[in-house]
Amino acid sequence: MSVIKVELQNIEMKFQTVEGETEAIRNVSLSVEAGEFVSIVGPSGCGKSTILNILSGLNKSTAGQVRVNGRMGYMLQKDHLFEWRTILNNCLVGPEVQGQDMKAARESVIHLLKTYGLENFMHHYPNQLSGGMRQRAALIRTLAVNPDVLLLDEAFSALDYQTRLTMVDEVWTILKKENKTAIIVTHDIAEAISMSDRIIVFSHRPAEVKSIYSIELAQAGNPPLENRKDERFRHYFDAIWKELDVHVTG
Amino acid sequence: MSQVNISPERRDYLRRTHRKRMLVLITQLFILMAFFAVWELAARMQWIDPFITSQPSGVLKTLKSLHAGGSLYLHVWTTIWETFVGFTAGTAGGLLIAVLLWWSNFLSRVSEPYLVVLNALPKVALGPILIVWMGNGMGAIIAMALLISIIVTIISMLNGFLTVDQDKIKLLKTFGASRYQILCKVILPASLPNIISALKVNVGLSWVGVIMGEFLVSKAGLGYLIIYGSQVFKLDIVMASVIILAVAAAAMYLGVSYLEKKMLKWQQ
Ligand SMILES: Nc1ncnc2c1ncn2[C@@H]1O[C@H](COP(=O)(O)OP(=O)(O)OP(=O)(O)O)[C@@H](O)[C@H]1O
Ligand SMILES: [Mg+2]
Repeated sequence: MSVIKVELQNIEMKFQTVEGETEAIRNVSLSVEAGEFVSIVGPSGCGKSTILNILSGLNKSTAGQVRVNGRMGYMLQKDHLFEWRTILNNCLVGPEVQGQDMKAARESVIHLLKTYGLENFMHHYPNQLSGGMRQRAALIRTLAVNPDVLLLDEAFSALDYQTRLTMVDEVWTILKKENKTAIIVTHDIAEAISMSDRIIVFSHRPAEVKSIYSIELAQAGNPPLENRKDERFRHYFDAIWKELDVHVTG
Repeated sequence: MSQVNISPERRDYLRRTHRKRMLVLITQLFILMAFFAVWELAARMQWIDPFITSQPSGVLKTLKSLHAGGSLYLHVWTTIWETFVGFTAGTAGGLLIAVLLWWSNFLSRVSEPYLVVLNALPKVALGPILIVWMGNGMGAIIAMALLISIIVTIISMLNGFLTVDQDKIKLLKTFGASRYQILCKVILPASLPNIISALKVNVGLSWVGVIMGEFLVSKAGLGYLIIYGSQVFKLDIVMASVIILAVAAAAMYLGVSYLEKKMLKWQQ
C-alpha cells in the first residue's frame, strides 16, 4: 500500500468577476500516490490549470477538500527566468523567498546544475541559453526547494518539437531519479501517454473527471521516448483521442 | 578580450567600422566649428547685428569676465544644485508614491482621476502660487522642478509595475512569496529599464522646471542670468548662459546614460 501524496475530494471552483460567474470545476476527486506520474488532459479552458493552482495553494477552491502530503513545486509553460539574474541566482530564488539557509541551498543547487549539465552556464544570464537549457534551469529552480510533488503545467509546450521530445525524456529521468511524484497538465496526448502511469481525462468546462486510464505498456518503467515505440501506445492514443471528442469540421 | 589571430576579413571589417566612426565624429566637430565660425564672421561683416545676435568672441569675453569676477560659478552651481535636488526629489518621491499605489489597489483607484488632472495641468501655471507660498527663493524653484517631474514619474512607474508579467509574480507566489518579496524580487528589478528611462525624462524636465522657476523669481542662477541679460540687452550674457546650460544638461544626461549601461548589464 503506497502513501497517498495528494488527494482532492469533490472540488468545486467558481470564479467571480464583474462580468459574471465562471464555473471552472464542478466536481473533481482524485488521488495520487507517491512516485506516481499522473497526467491531466482535457479540452482547452476546461479548468486544468485551475486544478493545479488549487493544489499548489495559489487559489482556494470554493468547495471540497484538498489534502496534500508534502511540498509542492510548480513548473509553468514558459521558464520565466528573471533576465536580471544569473542562472545560479535564478535557481536560488525559491530558497531565498522561503528564507532557507542560503549556503546549503547554494551548494545543493550547484550540485544539481552540475548533475544536469548546466555547470558551465551558472554565471550566464538567461538570454545566453537555448530554450531547452532554460527549461532545464527552470526545473532545477523548482527542485531547489526540494518539493515532493511536481506540478507541470504545459511545461514543454513553448519548446520546438525536437527539443520538446528530449526535454520530456530528460525531465522524466530527472524526476524519477529524484524520486518525485508528478502531476502533468498537457494538451499533447502522446506526451501524456509516454510520461505517465495514469491519465485523467477532464470534460468540457465545468471540469469533471470523464475517465481515467491506467497506462500499462509492454515494458514498464521505460523513459518516454522508448514508450512511444510501444505497440500499445497507439491503442491508448486512439482511445483518449476519441474521449476528448475533438471535432475537426471542414 | 584581445584576440591574437584575427582573420584578414575581420581586420578589414574593424578598419572599415573604425573609419566610419571617425568620419561621423569629424563631421560632427566640423559642423560645430563651422557654426561658430560663420556666426562670428557674419557678426564681424555686419551681415547680422551683433547687438541682438551676440557673437562668439563677445560670449568668450563675457565668460572670461564672469569667471574673473567669480560670479559665473555662483550662477552655474545654483542652477545645477536646484536641478539636482529637484530631480532627485521628483524621481525618488515619484517612485515611492508609485510603490505605495501599487501596494494598495484602493489608493491607486482613488487617486487615478487626480493624477490624470494633475498630469494634464501645465505645472508652470502653479509657479506664482509656489512663490506666494514659499517666497521668492530657492525653495519655490526646487518645488517647481519637483512638481514638473513627479506626476509623470508616478504615472509611468505605476504603469510599468502593473505590466510586469503576471506569470513571473505567480512563479514567486508558488514559492510562497509575500507582497514585499514580490515587490523587491520581481516588480522593482523588472521595472529597472523603466526607472532608468524615467530618470532620463526627469533630467530634462527638472532643467525646464528650474529655468522656469528662475525666470519667475531668483537672484542667482543661469535662468536669472538669461533674464537679466535680455533685460539689459546684453545678449552676450544670454548666449553664454545658454551655452553653459547646454553643456551642463548634456553632462547630466550622459551621467544617467552611463548609469543605465552599468545597471542594465543583463540586457545585452
Ligand atoms: N482568475 C480567474 N478569474 C476568472 N476566471 C478564471 C480565472 N482563472 C481561470 N478562469 C476561467 O476558468 C476556466 C478554466 O481556466 P483554466 O486556465 O484552468 O483552463 P485550462 O484547462 O488550463 O485551459 P488551457 O488548456 O487553455 O490552459 C476558464 O474559462 C477561465 O476563463
Ligand atoms: Mg492552462
